[in-house]
Amino acid sequence: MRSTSTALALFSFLAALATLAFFAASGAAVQGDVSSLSDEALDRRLQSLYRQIRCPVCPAQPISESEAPLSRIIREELRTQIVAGKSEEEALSWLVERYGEGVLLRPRFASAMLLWLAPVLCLLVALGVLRSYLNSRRLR
Amino acid sequence: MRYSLIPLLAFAAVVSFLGYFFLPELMEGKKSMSLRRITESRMRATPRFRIPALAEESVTNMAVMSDSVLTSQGSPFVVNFFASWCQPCLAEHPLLMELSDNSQVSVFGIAWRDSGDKAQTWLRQHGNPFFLVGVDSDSKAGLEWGIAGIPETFFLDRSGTIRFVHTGPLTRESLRKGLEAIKVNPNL
Repeated sequence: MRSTSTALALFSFLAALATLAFFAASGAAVQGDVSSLSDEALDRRLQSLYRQIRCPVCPAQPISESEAPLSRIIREELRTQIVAGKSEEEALSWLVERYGEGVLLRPRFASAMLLWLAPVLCLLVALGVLRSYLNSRRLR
Repeated sequence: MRYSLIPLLAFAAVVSFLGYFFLPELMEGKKSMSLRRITESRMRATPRFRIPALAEESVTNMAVMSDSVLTSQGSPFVVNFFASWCQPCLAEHPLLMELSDNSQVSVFGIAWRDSGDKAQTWLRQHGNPFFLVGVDSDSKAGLEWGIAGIPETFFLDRSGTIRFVHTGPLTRESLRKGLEAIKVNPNL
């Protein structure tokens, strides 16, 4: 008796799982089929890429918001590269090679690291000085 | 006594650290650090590009301009981005006309975001200082060279490496600096 109800519960659980899996799969298939949806995904990818790039002729404005002709030219070029299968990182490197690090609104870690680490370094040096000073006093 | 020196040394370290970054800026006056970094990163080999050229306006009747056309000259060369719609380009034009007489250097022009017809009319009206004129109507070449605005002038040595870049209209001083960077006598 008990084993029957366990089997029944297991069966209904598996059935529910299969139903869920079926709907999930059909949903995914629909998403893959309709090209307008994948266009939307591409646009989202491009917009987040554009937001990382400073328009070279405007002060502190990303090319996603700039109407300058150069911004449009850069947007079109990057779109072509992404559609051709380049990754965001490759496209950014391509641009940095030509326009310099200054074209990135958020500088890459290596170039900004010195700036971020300077206060920490100063603090460490100060602590070291303080420690050796205290040690010298204790010895005396 | 020994430890009284440490704060002094720390202070000297901080001062030399700041001095290293900001002294050149103070001396040069206006060039910011980010600008200098951009300029340095642009010292590289001739960018790869291929655009149509104004055959009628060229010395050799060539209809294509590319990186290999530029480097095959075997001499130092200057690449000037201009356009018929560009007012400041008129200001530097007499200097380019003068430079075209210098036998040590080849001068190339690239009409940026301009049409071949308009560039040709403009050159006939104001004089053509260029050995060959490329037409970069959709800024394909401009992107490769990292052009943000014009006029912009690149000075490349014999091997085709960019040695000096001047943004904005050329002055006699910037022209002299550029030519010195590619080992060309400005007075010839």
